[in-house]
Amino acid sequence: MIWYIARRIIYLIPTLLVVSIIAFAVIQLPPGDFLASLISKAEETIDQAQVDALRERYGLDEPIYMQYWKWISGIITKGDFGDSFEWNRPVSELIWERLGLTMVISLFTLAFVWIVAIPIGIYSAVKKYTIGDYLVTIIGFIGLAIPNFLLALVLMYIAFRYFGQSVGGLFSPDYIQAPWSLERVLDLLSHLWLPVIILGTAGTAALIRVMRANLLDELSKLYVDAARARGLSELKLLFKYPVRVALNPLVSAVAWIFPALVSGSAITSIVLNLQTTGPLLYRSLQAQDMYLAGSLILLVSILTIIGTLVSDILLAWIDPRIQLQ
Amino acid sequence: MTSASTPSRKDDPANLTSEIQSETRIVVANQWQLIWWKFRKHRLAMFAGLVTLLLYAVALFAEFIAPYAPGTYSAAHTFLPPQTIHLFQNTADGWRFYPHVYGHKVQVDPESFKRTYVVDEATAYPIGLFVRGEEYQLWGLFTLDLHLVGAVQHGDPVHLIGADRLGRDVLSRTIYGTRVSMSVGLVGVGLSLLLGVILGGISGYYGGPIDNLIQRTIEILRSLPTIPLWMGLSAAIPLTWPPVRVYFAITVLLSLIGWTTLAREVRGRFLSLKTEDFVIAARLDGLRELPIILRHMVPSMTSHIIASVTLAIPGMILAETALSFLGIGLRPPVVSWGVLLQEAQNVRSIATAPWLLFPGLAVVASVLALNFLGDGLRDAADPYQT
Amino acid sequence: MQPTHTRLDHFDGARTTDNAPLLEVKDVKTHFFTDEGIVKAVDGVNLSLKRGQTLCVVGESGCGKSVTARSILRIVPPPGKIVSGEIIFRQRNGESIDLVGMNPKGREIRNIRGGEISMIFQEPMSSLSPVHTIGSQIMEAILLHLPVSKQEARKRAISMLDLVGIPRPSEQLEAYSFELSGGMRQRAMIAIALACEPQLLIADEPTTALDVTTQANILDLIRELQQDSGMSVLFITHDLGVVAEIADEVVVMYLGRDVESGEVDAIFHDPKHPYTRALLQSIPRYDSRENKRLYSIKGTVPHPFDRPTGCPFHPRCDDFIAGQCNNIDPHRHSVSQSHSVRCLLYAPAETHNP
Repeated sequence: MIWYIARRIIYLIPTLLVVSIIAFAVIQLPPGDFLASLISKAEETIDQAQVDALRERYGLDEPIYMQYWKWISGIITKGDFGDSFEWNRPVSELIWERLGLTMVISLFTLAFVWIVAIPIGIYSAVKKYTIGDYLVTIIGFIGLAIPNFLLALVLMYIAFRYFGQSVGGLFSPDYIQAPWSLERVLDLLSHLWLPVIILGTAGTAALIRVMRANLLDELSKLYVDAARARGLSELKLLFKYPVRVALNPLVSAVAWIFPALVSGSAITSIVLNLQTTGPLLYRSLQAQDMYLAGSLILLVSILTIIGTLVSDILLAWIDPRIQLQ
Repeated sequence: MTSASTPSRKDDPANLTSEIQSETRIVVANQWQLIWWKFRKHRLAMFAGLVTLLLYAVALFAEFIAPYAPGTYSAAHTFLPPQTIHLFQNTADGWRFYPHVYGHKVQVDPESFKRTYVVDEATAYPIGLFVRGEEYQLWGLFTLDLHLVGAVQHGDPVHLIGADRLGRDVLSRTIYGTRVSMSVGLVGVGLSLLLGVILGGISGYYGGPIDNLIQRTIEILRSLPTIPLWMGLSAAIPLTWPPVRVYFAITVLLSLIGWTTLAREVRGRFLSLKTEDFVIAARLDGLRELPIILRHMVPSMTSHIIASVTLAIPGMILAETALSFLGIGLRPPVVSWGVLLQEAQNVRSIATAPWLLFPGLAVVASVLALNFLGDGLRDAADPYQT
Repeated sequence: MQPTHTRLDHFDGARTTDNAPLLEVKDVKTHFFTDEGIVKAVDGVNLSLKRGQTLCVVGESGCGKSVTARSILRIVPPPGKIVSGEIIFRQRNGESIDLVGMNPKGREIRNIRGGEISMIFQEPMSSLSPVHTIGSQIMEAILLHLPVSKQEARKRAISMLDLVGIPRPSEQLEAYSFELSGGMRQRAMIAIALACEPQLLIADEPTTALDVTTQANILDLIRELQQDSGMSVLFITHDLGVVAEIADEVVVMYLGRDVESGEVDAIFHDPKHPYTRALLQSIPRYDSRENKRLYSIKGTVPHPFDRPTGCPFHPRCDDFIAGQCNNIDPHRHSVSQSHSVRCLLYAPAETHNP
């Protein structure tokens, strides 16, 4: 098991390298030297000494691979992601809370997706071709077809129109700027349900279909008959054997659902005005605040990669066949 | 198993030949016929297929189907709500068939200066099918003024789904948006398919270190959150680019990340086909690699690939919609569903004009149709399996 | 060190010694109701099995052997259903019950499954759970049917593994099915099946998926265990060589029904039904001097939706009587005390008229 984990972690290194190169490319993409745009945006004139200092710091006169090296080694050794020009603060000061909230929303949604999808998927497979199954299938398809942001807009409209409430945000106004406390956590939890439902709908629909298909596959396997022939009751049989085996692909499904959640949360957060990485990334891209944007893309990607790793390890832990390969 | 064309009974000797025919029909049916028969049994998928065809027809004939051009605006009708179609009119001689919509009067609230529309039953604008209206050029070739639906009298304000903040017809704009949104899906999937088939094919056929490299790449790409990545990449598209160039840049971006699913599908198929008896037999017969791939392996994969392509289009449509909605995908004056939904970006505008969400319905309908269609195709792709 | 197989006391007292059959299957029909039509997989099968004996059911693939076996345990998969017939089973307590009348999900039949009647399947790989250890599956069977603690169940599981010849049994208890070879897996399956000392073991082609040497080992094992415990075995196979080796009685099936049944000697040396005769002729014999083509039955097994009228074998039969065989569905006719056959050739003259 330890060797397996070690191997997975070693595999992680090229992935992280690629991700960091992509993020760096995003920083470099906008045409022109970003210092130029900084100078043009600055309200008071920046003196030449300051410009030179920045030029030195980011290695702008050096070849591109040296710039990359400076950037990435700064991140790894000092946690220095560069400065945000729009906020005029180090990027690292801006991102951590938002990254944490992204994580919280994604994890809660993941839990929601699992808790809802597994029982419904089991029901749908066991009651195959009944009205309930068809209903679940159709609702599932619709859930997959509605874009997150559209669902967010519709729910916000319904809340506004029929309940006279403006929903959105992750905190009540009193808590937005407040330091972390138990009350703030509770306030966060009370706001979390809406983004969780919005983000979770598509994933739930997808997972129900995966669970149903897996379980149908497993239900027709011989070991189910063998266990039945041993005298096991139907319910115990269902949960001990086919459901248990069908859960394995579900765990590996985390590897693609988690990135999708993080990805979807970017856009939903913009619509719902949540204090996650999404709106910050959006604004930084529009303002061409590239160090902030690049860092956000890097960190969000790393977040999903870690999520994938965790799901892989989890799968190896619950499925004895995996480690053998 | 008797076909519909043979109403006569079994014991009728004249029926013998048709019986033999119906039997041989089973024997000689080729793969595509079997797929079609199996697909036909899937009612929902058939219906979805029709809807998909309809959507592409709308995209093709948008100028003819839409009552107005996408840019036609009218300051007098900003945020005009959808008009209800009335089929009959009550006249002195009783009810008569007279499809029409009512006009609106504007009332301005004296305190808040808010404009509200009140239905004015005194003015009725007749509507009809195949009416003469604005002139347009179909596919840049024919100049026509025939529209599928619209006001009978050219110039009457008829907005069945309402109008937006510039008084543009939401229905017409959604119809025009079909063209861009549905084609982004097709073009994007086309590019993905190219990448996916080439890389997936190489990966599955040769195996070994090449396979390993490609698989690793796919894994890396799949573990990335696509929307932030798309956001970052599309933000780099210069604002000065012409719309067509932006359109292609966006589709390229979408397919650069979207090819992985198709590549996996192709690789899996290749791997399982490689060990099939007929492929081994072809190899033992001394056939070279390329003919084996082209003549034996590709034909037996095509149906699966068509199914996966169909299932990949909705993802592209959703991605384009999301990016354009945020304003970092396609940009006006291009009309796509995502661009149209930009008008409905916050609760306030939706509260004033909920009908601005109509293009969202189009998104959901098209994605649903393509998903059901793809699902049915995937089931039918293996006609030999039950 | 050899852990001994401990027989549980409470079973011995109940063993009856009279000669009544342990299992009687009477005219059972199991049909599958599919969208395309009704598949009559089993369409009137009869068999009778005495205590301590081995009954072999033979026939081509698709003749309904496996469905017959599953019908006895009431584990026919949907959309299959037993539509008529009786399956009379003599329980340990001496009471006879009809398994057809039971709720297939009920407690009664579950007590019989694994406790009184066990089953092993064709593919040992897929009949073991891929994510549970061998031990957990044996102990599950033991804990379901015997009043023992977990500790005792574990001990018993180890002694069962030892009994079926699995080396290092206490280690293998923790093994997963993919860590064992095909033969070992089937041994493990047998250990699970016999853990509660059933009166009847149904073996559904248990050796088909194994190589020849392993096959012989498994057959020997089943025979040994049968001699030790006195259980009856219902052995399903298409391999006449296996039949000759282990059977006391034989039932030959064709298209869902028994066409001939009798003692193994009678079937092999005095086959009556044209199908049985054809089957026996199609066995290659190494002692055959003549250099002639191996006999094969003409035609193929008909499509399930296309059952022939009259005797189902008539289109392929060499002794086909036109106008008779394709119209009359033959009854079972006794040719001797323990030998019966379903064929018009052996019917008393008066029944020839339709």
